[in-house]
Amino acid sequence: MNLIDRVMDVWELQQLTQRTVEHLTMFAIALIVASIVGVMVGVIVYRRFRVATVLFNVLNIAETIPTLALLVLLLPLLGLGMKPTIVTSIIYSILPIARNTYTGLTSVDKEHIFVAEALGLSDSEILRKVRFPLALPLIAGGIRIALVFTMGVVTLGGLIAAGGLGAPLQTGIQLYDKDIIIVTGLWVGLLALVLDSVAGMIEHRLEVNRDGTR
Amino acid sequence: MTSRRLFDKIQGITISHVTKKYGSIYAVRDVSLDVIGGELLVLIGPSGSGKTTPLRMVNRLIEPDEGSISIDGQDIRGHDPVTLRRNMGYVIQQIGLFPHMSVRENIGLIPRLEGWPRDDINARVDELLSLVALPPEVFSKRYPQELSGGQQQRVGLARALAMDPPILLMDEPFGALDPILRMQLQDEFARVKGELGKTILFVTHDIEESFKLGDRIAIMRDASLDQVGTADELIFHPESAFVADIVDANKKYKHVDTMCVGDVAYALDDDYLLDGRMDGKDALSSMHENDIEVALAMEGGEIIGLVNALSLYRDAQGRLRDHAFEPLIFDANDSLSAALSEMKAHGISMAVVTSRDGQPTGMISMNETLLRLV
Repeated sequence: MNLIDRVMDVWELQQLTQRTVEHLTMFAIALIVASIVGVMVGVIVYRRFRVATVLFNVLNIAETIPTLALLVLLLPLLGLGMKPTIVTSIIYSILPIARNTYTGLTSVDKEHIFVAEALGLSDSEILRKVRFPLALPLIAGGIRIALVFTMGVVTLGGLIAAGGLGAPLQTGIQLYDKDIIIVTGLWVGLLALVLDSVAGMIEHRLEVNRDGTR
Repeated sequence: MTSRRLFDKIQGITISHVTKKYGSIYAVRDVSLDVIGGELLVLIGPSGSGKTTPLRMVNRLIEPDEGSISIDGQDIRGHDPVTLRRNMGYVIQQIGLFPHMSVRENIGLIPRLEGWPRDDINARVDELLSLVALPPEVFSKRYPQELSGGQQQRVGLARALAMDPPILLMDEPFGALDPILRMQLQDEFARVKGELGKTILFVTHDIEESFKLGDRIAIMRDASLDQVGTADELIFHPESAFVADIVDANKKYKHVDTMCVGDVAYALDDDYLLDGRMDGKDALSSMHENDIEVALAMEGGEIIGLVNALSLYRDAQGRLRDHAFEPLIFDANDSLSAALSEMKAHGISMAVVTSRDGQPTGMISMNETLLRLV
């Protein structure tokens, strides 16, 4: 049997097309929710300066819990499958996004803020029209870090019957079937790489835009 | 949010006994000053003299510890700061443009926040860009980093004028520019100033600039106001040694007889020399590229005439030579006083300076020269 046949064999037997769709669905839901919540947390923390330290400490603690432990801890609450996987991904991703959002919003050049005030922008307009757009490259950087986390957690979801590409990997490990492990492993790796480079390109574009030389 | 228009044309701004202290240091101490509606009042002084503080108090960026400021008799503390600021234009040194917004977005920012319809904003932006002699079709889509210092400064002025405010606050607007460009922009501003009919408070540390642009000049020292008056009053009747020193009163007219034209001319580089046979529009874009306002049309080493960007901007049909007007030409070794009186007789403020072989080497501006002498 030649190489392509063996790959196709694994692909069909393990239903990798369907698994990939499941995988990307969990990934997309988790990342989108985490981005929205993360940015919101970042903005809230920016507005309530005192909350910042407390909240970031809590999130930091959440971040130190091992992924696997968190997945298992959520089982009694959310049962098996997709739900705990997505929730775990979100919990892990909020911190980098929120922290980058907060840093981005607070590190905008004071001169720009001064001019915005002098022109007659209110605080919320300064946030929307000046701070937020100028923080976008950093926010995108946070989302990119979260993307890598999410890809990892979703793959682990295979352990708790979440489906996705973690499932065939589990099968491969249990049956000690090298073909399944290698094909699925490479495929997950390739997906992660492609998604990360797309995110990298978006991040770079935002930086270029900020410099105004598109 | 949309804000109300507070005033149309104002009678005056009254700054009354304002004091501001940071720790134990006074930024301003018991300063009182009346700005008359329609005038350009310059605040000048060395750094740390507190000259920007009154400016920033007028739009409530700084609140005085004591004293009050009123516009047309109404205390400004009665106005919401955001509303108040939108009724005043603010121009600052060149960093003031937002890097993530195009020229159009920068100028249209406040109108957009005020909820103007898109077409009105675009029309207003085009009108303002034309006023500051930047063709909208070329510049409106650019980003601040793609503009030269002089162009950024013009966009900054256009942005300050977006809401057609009756009051303009200008905080060392030409401070970061090189001398020739500064001179050009000052000329340009002196010209639009009259058309605008606004009350302007202008901070600078450059005494020549204050003489050139200011209707009256307020001299600040150590957080206090030393003297307020017209340039003549300050030069001929300085009330303190400090004022006399700042306006260089003892030097007035001292050297004019011994100086020659070359001593006060500004050097010209090649950017200022254009071929008279070139297309008028090309000449205009070349001038924009090099950020210059006046240029010399040349043909075969001969001076055809002077051209200026503003008139080319209004009409650039045909070749450059058709738009050139004959300049006064002086040799660098000509006597300065003779040259000045000739310029005065012709009513011309700028002339070309040439070397002995007739090559243009510089330009001389009458106003600038007089200011340097007094």
